[in-house]
Amino acid sequence: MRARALATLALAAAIVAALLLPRLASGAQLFFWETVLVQMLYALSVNLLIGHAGIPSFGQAAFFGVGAYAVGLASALVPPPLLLLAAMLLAALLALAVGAVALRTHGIAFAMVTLAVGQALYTASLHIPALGGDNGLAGIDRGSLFAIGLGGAAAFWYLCAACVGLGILALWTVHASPFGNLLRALRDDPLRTRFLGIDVRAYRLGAFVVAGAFGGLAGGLFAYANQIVTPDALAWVRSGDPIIMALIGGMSTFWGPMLGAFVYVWVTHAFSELTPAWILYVGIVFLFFVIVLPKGLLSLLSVRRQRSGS
Amino acid sequence: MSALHVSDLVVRYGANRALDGLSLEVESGELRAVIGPNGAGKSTLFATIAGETPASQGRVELDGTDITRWAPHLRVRRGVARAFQVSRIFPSLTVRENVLAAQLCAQGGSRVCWRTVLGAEHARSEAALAELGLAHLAARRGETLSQGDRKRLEIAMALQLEARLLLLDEPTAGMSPRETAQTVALIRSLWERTRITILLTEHDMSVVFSLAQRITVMQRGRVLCTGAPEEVRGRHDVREIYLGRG
Repeated sequence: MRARALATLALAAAIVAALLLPRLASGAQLFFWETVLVQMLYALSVNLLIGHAGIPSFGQAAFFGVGAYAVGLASALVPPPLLLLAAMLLAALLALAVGAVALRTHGIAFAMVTLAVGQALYTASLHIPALGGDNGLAGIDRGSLFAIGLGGAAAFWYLCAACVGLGILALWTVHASPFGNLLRALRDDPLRTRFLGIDVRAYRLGAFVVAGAFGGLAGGLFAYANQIVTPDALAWVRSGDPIIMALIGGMSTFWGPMLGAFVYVWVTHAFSELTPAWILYVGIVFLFFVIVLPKGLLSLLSVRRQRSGS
Repeated sequence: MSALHVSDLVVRYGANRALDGLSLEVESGELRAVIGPNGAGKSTLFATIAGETPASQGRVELDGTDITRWAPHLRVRRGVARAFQVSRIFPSLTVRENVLAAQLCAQGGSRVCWRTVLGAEHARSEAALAELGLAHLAARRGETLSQGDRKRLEIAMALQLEARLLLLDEPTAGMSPRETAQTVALIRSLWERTRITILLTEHDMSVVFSLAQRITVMQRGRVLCTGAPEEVRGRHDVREIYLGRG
């Protein structure tokens, strides 16, 4: 009961903060928070696969990048909500095709297949003229919604916050559904789950498609926020980022990757302003979390709860 | 009518034949033990019947239906339940939740699995826990159970699947003498009450001879003989290859 009241309070606070932020923050600060939101959604989608279903995908940038390029290619033709839905659908279809083949393998072999698909798309993006090569696609038009132009920082912030909010709600619904429970069951013991009559591969494919779709949505929002998409959106580092975020926050929880995304974006932002060698310091922070807090930041809360309970 | 009919089953691992033209027939409602020395192919036979290991050749029929090429989850839905040599339960769930998970999975996977549990389902799981002597452990997490309790929980889960054929792979392995006696009594009472077809392997001959109606002896991937316990015990060739002389 107390947990439910706290969750309601946190949700109300998040909605009020989202509504007030454009009045309180500068354009640069709004962009920072847009980046945080997009990465939160991306980390949640990846954690559905790795943290909850136990599927070690190293190629999620493929779906993020496909969503981003879909927006980059069609922003002048299709209004944002429709284009974001199309980006999700495209990423989901790609995930269905990749997953149908890749999920015939397991463990490290599966991870390598997904990595290879991501790298293949990255290489293709460099050589397909319509995708702009190295320079990518610049000048992405944010268009308008109900005759309200989304070019301004505040208007786009509301669109971004609404899309991420709905995305988080959808992923929470998946997490809390029977489907989500089954994913965790087959992560814990796939053999036992199979011998309860469950088609393990079909459920894994379902998780892969859902994660791909929301990775595509995150990619699409990323392209709108930056108003440019380059091959960097498909690079293998882009597949590693959300895994690091989920590890920092806590992979075994639903909310951990969101906290991890905030910490990761904030740390990279802060260090990149201080030193050109910022990646080194981000690496040290990551090592700290892996060694000292392997279950992530949210595990501190559960330790505290256990102590106060004992 | 035979519940399980295995004919001319061959399973190859490279050049080796783990099963080499094995044929076996188990009557509906029978409690059959399969014994044999290490490497005889007992575990491969179980894995092939369950669909975990593909057959290179031959047929597996369940109640007259050819299931040789069926995926494991489809065999489970058809009525094949399995308990493993090293018990497999969900360690992070409680004993009660493990039984409920099995019960709900049996009803149709994700459409009902771990949805809000109905009163009747609670009652059924509590009855199963009481029958298997696990009621006092219902709130304990699976990972905290002893080996004997884990095995009993796994049998309780298998029974929730409304199976027609129960495969028990070494059901008393790793148990203390007291736990072994309890498990033997449990399997016997379950079988007498439900008359489910049970196929079990076991290294402990006292368990085999006290439980089985008939015993199949395997050697080098083939059936050496099948018969009543006294008959098998009296066979010279069985004593030689498995039970030892004298």
